[in-house]
This record gives sequence, C-alpha cells and structure tokens, in this order.
Amino acid sequence: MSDQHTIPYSPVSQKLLWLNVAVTGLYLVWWLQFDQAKNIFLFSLLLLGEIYHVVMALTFWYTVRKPHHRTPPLWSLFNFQPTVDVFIPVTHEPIEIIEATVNAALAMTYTRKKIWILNDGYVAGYEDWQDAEKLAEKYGVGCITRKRKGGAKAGNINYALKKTRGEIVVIFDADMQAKPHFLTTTLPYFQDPQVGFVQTPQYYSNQNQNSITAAAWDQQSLFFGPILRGKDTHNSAFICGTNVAIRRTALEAAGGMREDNIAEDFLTSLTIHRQGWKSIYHPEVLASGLAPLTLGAYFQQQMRWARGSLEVLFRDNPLLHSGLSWAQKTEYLASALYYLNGLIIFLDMIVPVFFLFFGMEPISSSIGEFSFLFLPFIVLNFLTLHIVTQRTLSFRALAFAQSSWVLQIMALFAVLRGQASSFKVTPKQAEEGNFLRLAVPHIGYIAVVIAGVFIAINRDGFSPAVAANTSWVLFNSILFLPYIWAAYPWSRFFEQTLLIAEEPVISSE
Amino acid sequence: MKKIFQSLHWYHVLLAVVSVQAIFTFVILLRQSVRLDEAQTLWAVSKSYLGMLEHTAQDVHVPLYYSLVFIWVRLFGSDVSVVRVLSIVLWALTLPVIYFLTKYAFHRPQLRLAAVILFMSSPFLMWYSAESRMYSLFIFIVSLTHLFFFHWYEKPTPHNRVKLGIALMIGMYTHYFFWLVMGAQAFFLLFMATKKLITEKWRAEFQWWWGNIQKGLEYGVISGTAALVFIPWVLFIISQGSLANTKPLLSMPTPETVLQLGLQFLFGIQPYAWQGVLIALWPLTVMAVFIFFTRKHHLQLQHSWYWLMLTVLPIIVTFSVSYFSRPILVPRYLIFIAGSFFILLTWLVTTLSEKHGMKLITAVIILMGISTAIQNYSSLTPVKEEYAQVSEYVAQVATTRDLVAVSAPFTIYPIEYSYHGVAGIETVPYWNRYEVGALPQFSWDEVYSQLEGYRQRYQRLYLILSYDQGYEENIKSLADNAFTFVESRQFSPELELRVYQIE
Repeated sequence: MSDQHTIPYSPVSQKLLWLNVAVTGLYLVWWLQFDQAKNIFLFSLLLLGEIYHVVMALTFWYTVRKPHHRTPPLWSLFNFQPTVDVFIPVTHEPIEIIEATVNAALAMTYTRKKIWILNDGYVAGYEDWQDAEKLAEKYGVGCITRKRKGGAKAGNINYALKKTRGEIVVIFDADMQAKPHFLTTTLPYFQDPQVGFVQTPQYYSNQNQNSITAAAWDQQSLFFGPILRGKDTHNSAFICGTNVAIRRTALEAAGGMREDNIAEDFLTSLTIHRQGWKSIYHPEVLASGLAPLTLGAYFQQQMRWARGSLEVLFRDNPLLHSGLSWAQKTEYLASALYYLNGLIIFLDMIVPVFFLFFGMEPISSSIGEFSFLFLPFIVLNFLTLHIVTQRTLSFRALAFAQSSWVLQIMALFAVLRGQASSFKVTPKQAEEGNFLRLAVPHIGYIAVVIAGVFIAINRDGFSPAVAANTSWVLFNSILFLPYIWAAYPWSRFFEQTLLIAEEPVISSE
Repeated sequence: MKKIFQSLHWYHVLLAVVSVQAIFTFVILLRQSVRLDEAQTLWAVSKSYLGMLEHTAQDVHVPLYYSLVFIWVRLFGSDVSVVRVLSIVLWALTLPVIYFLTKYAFHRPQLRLAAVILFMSSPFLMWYSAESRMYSLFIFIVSLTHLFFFHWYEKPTPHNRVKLGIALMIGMYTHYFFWLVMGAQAFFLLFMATKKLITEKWRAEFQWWWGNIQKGLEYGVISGTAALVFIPWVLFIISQGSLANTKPLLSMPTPETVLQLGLQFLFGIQPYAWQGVLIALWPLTVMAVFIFFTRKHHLQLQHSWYWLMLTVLPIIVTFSVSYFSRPILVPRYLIFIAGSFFILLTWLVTTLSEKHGMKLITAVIILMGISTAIQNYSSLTPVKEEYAQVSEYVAQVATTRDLVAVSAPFTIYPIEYSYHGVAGIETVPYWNRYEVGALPQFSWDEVYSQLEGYRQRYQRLYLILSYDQGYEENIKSLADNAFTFVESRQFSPELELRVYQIE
C-alpha cells in the first residue's frame, strides 16, 4: 500500500487515549459539582454542551483506537468475475464534467462492466436533459432517463436497479473520475459472500483551488482518514454516496437505496448492516472529484448531510434498531450526533454574551480551577487529532466546522418541524455572486459581542470576569473569520475600493 | 528593513536592545529596599562560618550560596546591593550556558538566539536575579546540569561522566529543589528506555533500548555517587536538631498558582488586579492550542520530551506534594525550570507561525519589556517590600520615648538592616533571635501582657506589619483595643505601618 495514494492517517498510542479518558473523567466530574452553579439556567446550558463534547470525544477515541489496515484479498479470477453496473447519476451537471467521468469509468480495467448514465435531467425539468443521452450514445454507454419523479438521487438509482442486472453496483457522482484499478481493487473484497459494500475515499482534486475547497477537503480528510478506518474496524463504515461498490443482493435486500431520507447513503448502509452484511472501507484513493467551490455550494452540501444525519437520529435512531451490534450502534450514533454540534456551539457562544450584557455568570468556581481541568482536556484532544490525522488537521477546517453552526441549527429545526427535504446536487461549477447572507449570523454575532464588551467594561471595568468572557467571544469571533472571508470576494472589494480611492481627480481646466 | 527583519541580524538587534534593557533594569533593582529573605542572607553571613552553616541548616536551605556570599562580603563589603551584584553576575554567566544548551534543542541559530533573548527578557528572572538569594545560582547550576547531561547523554565518555557528576553534586548543595531536576532527568531516561517498547517492535530495536537502559543505570550510578557527597550535610542537619520556624507561612497552591507561574516567567510579578486579568485571558491559550495543532509543519525541537518533562514534572510534583502533604509550591522556588520553559516557549511561538515567528517573538519581547517596567515601577507590585522606606519614615518620626514593634517576628531582619532611628525595636510576639532554635510557641495572653507592658514605658507605638503568619489580624485587633489608633500607612502591598498613642 506504500506507493498508493491513501488518506493521511497515523495510529495513536493506547496510553494517550487512556490518558484522554482519565483527564476527561476529571473534567466531567468537575462539571457535575452542581453546587458551583451560580445561574442555574446558564450552568445547565454549559453542562449540556460539555456532556455533548465529552460524549463526542469518547466516541471519537473509541473509533480511532484500533484502525483497520486493509490490504485487498488475493483475487481468484477463475472463480470470481462478477458482472458490474457502473452508475453515474446526473441531473444537470456540466456535460464536460460528466464526459470526463464516463471516460474514466470506461477506462477502468475490467471487462464485465457496463456503464450507465442515470439521467434525472428530465424529471428535474431541464430543457437540455437529452444532452446526457447524446453523451451516452457518443461513448456507447447506457443511459437510463427517468420520466417519473421521486426519491431524488436514491430514486434515480433505484429506478436504474430495476433496469439492470449486474451483480455489483458501482456508484460515481457526476464529477468523480475513477482510476483504472478501481474495480480490480474493490471487487476482490466481494469474494467474501458476506461483504455488502466497499467504500473508498471521496477525494477532491481541486482542493487547492480556494479556501472553501481546501477546508472541505481538510474535513473530508479527517473523515476518510482516521474516522472511516476506525469505523471499518467495527464493521460500521457507511456508504458515502459515491466511489462505492455495492453487492446488488445486499442493496435489494435493503429495499434499494432509502428514499425516505435526504442522506440516502447513510440510512441505506444502516439497513444493510442491520441485515448482517459486512462493510469494507478501502482507504486508497480510487476516484477523485470536485469539492464545493463556493460557500453556497459548501453550505448546501453540509446542509444535506446535516439534515440526513439528524433525520436518522430522530426518526431511525440506531440505538432502537435490532440487528446492529453495540459497536455499530455507537458508530452510527456518533456520526448522527455530530450534527448536533451546531446547537452546542450556539449555546457555548451565547453564555458569555449573557455575561457581557447582563452580568449573569454560570459558575461560581474560580477561573483557574476551570482552566486547570479544561486545558489538559483540550490539549490532549487536539494532540490526539493532530496525531491521527498525521498533522493534516487545519485551522481552516476547524473554523469552517465551527462556523457551520447556523446550517446545523437550521437542519435541526427543519428535522424537528418535519419539513420536507429536497435533494440538491452540490454545484460543480463556481457560481458568481456573494454569499455574505450565509455569514450574516456570524457578522451579527461579532457586532453584538463588541457592543457587549463595551457594556461589560462600562459596568464592571476590565475585571477578570470581563477579561475571561471577552476572551471567549474573541475566540469564537476569530474562528468565524475564515468563513466570513470565504463568503464574499473581499479582496476584489478592497481592490475596487482602493482603485476608486486612488483614481486621480481630473480637473476641468 | 524587511531584509534585516528576516535575517539573523534582527535577533542581534533584539539582543542588543534587551541587553540595554537588562542593564537598566538591574540598576533600578539594585537600588530597591532590602527584602526579608535578603536580610536573612546578610544576617546569616555576618556570623562565623559555622554559625552561618547552622543558620542555613535551620532555615531549611543548603549552604553553597551562603558560602559564596560569605566570601563575597568579606571581599567586597556587606551592603545589600553589593551582594545583589553577585546574583547578577551569576545571571549573566547563565546566558552563554543557555545559548550552548539551545544547541540541543534547535538547529537554527535564529531560534537559539531567540530562546536566549526570551530568557534575558523575563522580568521574573531579572527580579530574582537581582536578589541576594540563591535563585540565580540555582538557575545557573541547573542550566549547567542540563548542558552536561546532554554532553554525557550524547557522548558518555569518562570526562563527561565526571562533569555531570560534579554538576549534580554542586546542584544538591544549591537548593533542595535540585532533587526535582535529578528526578525529572531520571524519569526522562526511564521514559526513553521504555518508549520504543510501547510503540514499536522492540526486538528490532533491542540495541537502542538496551543503550537507553544502560544510560539509565549509568545515570543512577553517577547521581548516586554525587549524592554521597551530600551525606555530610544531612548528618550536619541531624546534629542541629529541630529546624527553625523562621520560614514564612506558605499558602496552599491553587490552580491559579500554576497558571501564575507561567505568566510570571513571561510578564513578571504584576499587581494582583492585573494578575487576575492575565489569568482570565486564558481562553486565548485555547486559540493558541488550536493554531499550534493545526500547523502542518512543526519546527523541529530536539529532545522535546526532555524539555517537556524538565518543565512539567517539577510543577506536578510540587503541586501534588502541596496538595496532599504540605505547601511547597512557590513560583520562585521553581525558577530553575526557566531554561527548559523558554526553550519550549520559543518552539511553541515560532511553530504558531513559521513565517511570522520572528515577529511573534519580537511582540512577546516587547510585552515582556513593558511588564518589566510595570513590575519594577509600580507601587502595587506584590513582592515589593519597602522596609527601607518604612524604616526611614519611622526613624524620622519616632523618639526615644517610642517603640518600634514588628510582626511577623522574623521581619526584624530587614527592618533592623535599614533602621537607624533612636527608638527601640521589638518583635510581636516577643522573640529572641539570638537563641538557637525555632521561634517558640506563644499564647495570646503573653502577647496581651507584652502590649500592656508598653503602657508604663512608651509614648507611641509604631507597629510594622508584614508577612502575615495567620495572626496579623489578631495583633492588630489587640493593639486597636489597647491603645489609641493614630494613623496607618501602606508602604507596599503587604507592608503596613500602624501608629498608636499609648499614653
């Protein structure tokens, strides 16, 4: 595997993980001393947030403690040559992008394969929906065009399942170009009749294009590096919508791709696992695609994932399903819980605001006591992340994750209110215009806390409590800056402003 | 300018600026009032050599520094500023040692210079390096020990073994906390010997592992041999019987104490209000943690475990002992971790931004410079002990019919050093410090009688209160009830003069 392109990952010492657990235990015990609550409402908010952080930290360490080191099994070509249907679901992506994906699929080394463009352009109401059919004709690949709407991407795939017969179904998003050895690497795993699907990383070839693609990749890198490897150990790797090979019988037994959830892949994996199938995560990059190029596209992608995961949490809670092992339940729950992060970030954000404006303090304990327990907790957490990601964890990724609280809260409310969800394909092209509207809450927060700091200083002077709360809001605000910066072409704004300012005044004389 | 800023020359400029600042700072510090601990040093070395050793043993110290001062005062005089110069000389001698030591931390000459400059800029180190106490000697010896440790660790020749052994011997006679250095070094060797066993296939690394085991055993032999030289001192202490009760009451350290330690290395001893604010800014360190761990390329720090352990372990040990047994954690006692602390700090700061590391270092140095000025000039600096000022004032106003009383009793040392008035001096509670042994136990009846006894003899009482040993409020209350309160003057944060009319 050494000469292959895999997602960065490094094993972590078990001692470090146990040290993490011990320090976290002390930290949690401190929080459970209720007599230190000064304002019970604010204390409860913070306590809720800290319990969430601790649960997420524990599940993360559980995930990464023993990662799977996959090497593909030897392939007995005489005994095992399954037929493969390669699905490329498209809606209205640029034709040149689809063309590149079809070309790459055709170039995959394996003869018993058939490439299918799953065309949803018609049901989506695009006038040029026939372009995909023309492309299929040009390259001699199949094209399945739905005429009846429903189920979004999952519906598209399920429709194609009825029209095809391949033993293995491979799914590539419209922008995911497979490497020639995709099939020869993933298919051998299916010699084990219990293997239901083989997932590979979703690599972004345009990761260095701008700060959004970079942040999106950094986040993917954490997921496809240590997290999915760890989940693989617990037979809990899940389908990520693309770059995946699925055994048809497993998919059909699950009732096809689940159409009742916007994150169809996540829920389908859960259903497949419930029926006792094995999953494989092969960490080698076998296909590469495009990261969201704009904040709008990023927002849309994250929103879809958040809604899907939260729907699973509230409607298909893994803990309530039979057929899953406890390890699988834990892993699915951890993945779904992640998207509650936005709510917790929001709670952590507003507690210092209450102090700045109204002087309300959640805790009566000393600042030093809290920091004494919190600092080792956070340092060890980050050290662990730093190690398992092989130092690829970026500030940008953290900043974007932290700034995603708005979309995560929106997703949470949408799920709780039972709003209908619609699957929107992540745009594959740069869109013009600014996305400042997506950063309004963040800018608003900064404005509010600046006012709050002035009010607090006016009320208490620059006391230790004011200093501590100012530091926290400053901390939050700094983390929002990369996101705000990505929301609008500020550099162009400044250039224009400067140009206008420097424009020479021409005298009428 | 940009070119200079990005080159080694910038550090030379910084070094020059910081050197000038250090000279300036020391000139100011030399002129400050004698402090309690300093007066005790002067008192001890004014005795015969044996008397000095007895005093040192009873005062729970080791004799190397006192022996040096003993010679120094006989050569150059016993004025406190003269004795302080010895400490400053030792501070200056530490700088090249730190520079050579940084060879074992950084490859880049810029970083090595940066570490030395940060070390030089520390207001905390400057404060205690201008005090007639053992702290600058302690840092000097500990830095030498680190240096000789690495000489031996990387090249265990007989010559290097002897050098390390001698450094350990001298260290043991410098401060009792030197044992923490030896403990941390031993722990480091133990850790290194077992590290690979945990993480790698140890059979393949057997030679490496065995090499470390050998080093650990060798260190045990060297330090054990060095410890033999300490036995005479232990026997001497035993022969002295009970220890003196002249040590100030130490308060139980809190988490703030530990945070303060790091902050004091950087920003010195600031007024209490500022210390609280500085501690409260700790969430910003979380941001630094975020940035630090999201750097893709960390600057290489050689022997990183060594620096980390030599910085952190002494803090953990002293905090734990203080928590579970008796308070021993006092920031100045841990001054010896300064070398490793500033090496780690240099690494952390420059790792935050490799591109802007130099600017960050410069910013930190500017902040340290400002802090130094505040520490040295502010009248609210908690460690200021203006015994000279209070003595001068009392000498001007007190007559032969008045009495100067000091509490806690051992603060008579600095008062007596600087007081040249006509009124008599006494301690409350009464203590004859010429008697060998501990400060005797006292009852409140005795103190009451002592104060009542003043009625017949004195007109006014000048009560100088400092170093509260837990009974300052009681003495104040007794005096308030017994006599007519006239006025109160605060000379430094914990030094109060209360004047009473007796008749």
